[in-house]
Amino acid sequence: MPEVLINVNKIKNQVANQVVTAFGVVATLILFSVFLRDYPDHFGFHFYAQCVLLASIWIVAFYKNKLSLESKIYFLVVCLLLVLVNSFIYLGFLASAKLYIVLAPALVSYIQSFRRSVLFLVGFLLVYMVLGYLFVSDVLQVHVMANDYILSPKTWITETILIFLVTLCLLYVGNTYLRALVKNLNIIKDQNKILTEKEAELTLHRDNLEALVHEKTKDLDEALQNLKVSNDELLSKNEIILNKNLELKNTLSDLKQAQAQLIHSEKMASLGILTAGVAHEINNPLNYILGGATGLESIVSSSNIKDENVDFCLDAIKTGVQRASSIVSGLNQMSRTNDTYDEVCDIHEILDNCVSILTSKLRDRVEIVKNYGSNPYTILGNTGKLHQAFLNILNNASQSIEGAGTITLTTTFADEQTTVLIADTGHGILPENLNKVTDPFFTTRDPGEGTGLGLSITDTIITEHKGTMEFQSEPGAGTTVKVEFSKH
Amino acid sequence: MSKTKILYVDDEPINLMLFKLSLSKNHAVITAENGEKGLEILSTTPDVDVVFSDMRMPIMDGLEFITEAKKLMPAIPYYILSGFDLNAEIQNALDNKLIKKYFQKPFDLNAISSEIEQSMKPN
Repeated sequence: MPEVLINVNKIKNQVANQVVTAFGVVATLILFSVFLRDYPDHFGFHFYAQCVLLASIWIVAFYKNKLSLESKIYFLVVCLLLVLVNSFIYLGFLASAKLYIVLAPALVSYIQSFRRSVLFLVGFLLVYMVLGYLFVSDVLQVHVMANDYILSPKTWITETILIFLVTLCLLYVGNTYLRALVKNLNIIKDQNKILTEKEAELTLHRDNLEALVHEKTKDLDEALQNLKVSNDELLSKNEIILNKNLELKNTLSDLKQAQAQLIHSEKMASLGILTAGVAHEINNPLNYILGGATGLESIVSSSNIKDENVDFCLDAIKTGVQRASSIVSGLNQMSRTNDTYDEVCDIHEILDNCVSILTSKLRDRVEIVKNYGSNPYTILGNTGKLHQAFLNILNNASQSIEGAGTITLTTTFADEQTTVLIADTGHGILPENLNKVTDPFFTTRDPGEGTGLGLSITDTIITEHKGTMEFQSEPGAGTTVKVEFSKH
Repeated sequence: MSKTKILYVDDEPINLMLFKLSLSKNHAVITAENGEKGLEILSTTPDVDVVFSDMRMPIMDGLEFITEAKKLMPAIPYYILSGFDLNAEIQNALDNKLIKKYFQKPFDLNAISSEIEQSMKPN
């Protein structure tokens, strides 16, 4: 819109410029006609005044491009007003300058609003009325004789020329304005056409762009799809790797367990050979002692020696031999290396043997409480291995007790299930370690003090006997190991 | 009724002495220091009722001795009395009926006596 406004102003300016030039020409012609009309009878001040005005019009016409639109138009209006006043003062009612009352608002209307043009008209009429009043009240007098003036042919000719020129000026200005508007309209039309073309072009570009975007989007979609497929592949590969990893971990764990067992078996095998040899070497002297004591007993009984201390001494020897023998026997059973699982294993006997073997560790420090069930508890299995298993549990229980404490052994039989509970009052197992105690090489003891194999071996042995082992522990309060065997 | 005649083979003299001392009240005990001597006794004394043998001995061990002895006298019962725990070898001998029973040292006099008594009963 501002562009259109500037355009309209431009048109108005062009029109004003042409009007100024036309005025110059018309005013010159009018002055010439006035000169013809008035010379020599009515020649005087008003003519010279008009000459000055004409000159100023030409000066303005000369500088028309440097002056603003309003100033040019108002200048012309002022010129018309001055000519009007000038003519009236000289000619009064007869003045042909009345025409300018029409011309001035018409000129203004091309530039200014309708309201302002009417204001100008009213202004001119006011001036006309004031002049009229001045004549009527005899303040001003007409300088020419009315009859002479009217009856002069020069007057009519000049009037005719004047009317013609003024009308021509109006027509010219109107026509110029119209032409400029039409031209402008054509320009607008052309611009519009160009714009329409541009718009079409833009639409085409937009369409192309849309197509391009569509294509690119499609490409991107395809790329995305490919990426998704690759991603899926990678994920499945990752899963495979994870599975393999898990397998490897399991294999490693199995290997560790196997290694642990191997080490242990090796150890137990050499221990077995050692204990068998040692047992033989101890059993022979024990045989001497027991045999000797038996011999003495029969000698004493067949003689006349009556002393109660003799019986006490003989009993002491027999008890000592029995204890030593049971320890040796326990050691033997523990280190037995056969791999059969068809031996009849008495759980109570095994527990007792284990306690005997640990006697030196437990003595005066740990109290053993036995809550054995009344029936003999037997399962089919491997005596040696079961000895190892329970010895490990008891050894751990003993080691967990710092200072004095109690280990309670409870056996029950119900629903074809033999249950052994080994409860200690030791320092317990931390909750986070509860699941790890049967892992090979897991130990909380200082390096060198424990291999971390004990409970791992125990767990394997119990499993080999179709049994289960559970740990319940409260740090600081103690641990209870529950071993269960189902009847074969 | 004559006393049961027992042959006891062991390489340790004290063991032999103690065995004799413990059982000679009710039984006739002959002892030998090794398998060879045991076999000699068996071949010269056919009325031996029961044979006890130690396991580990020089020249031949208990089972080797009993294997040979059985060839001479297959009908009588043979026993092993050893400081060794029951091992696969002895178990095998028990399974093959080479020996009737196995006793461990230090020997339980009552157990041995009752076994001898029992084995003699059918006769």
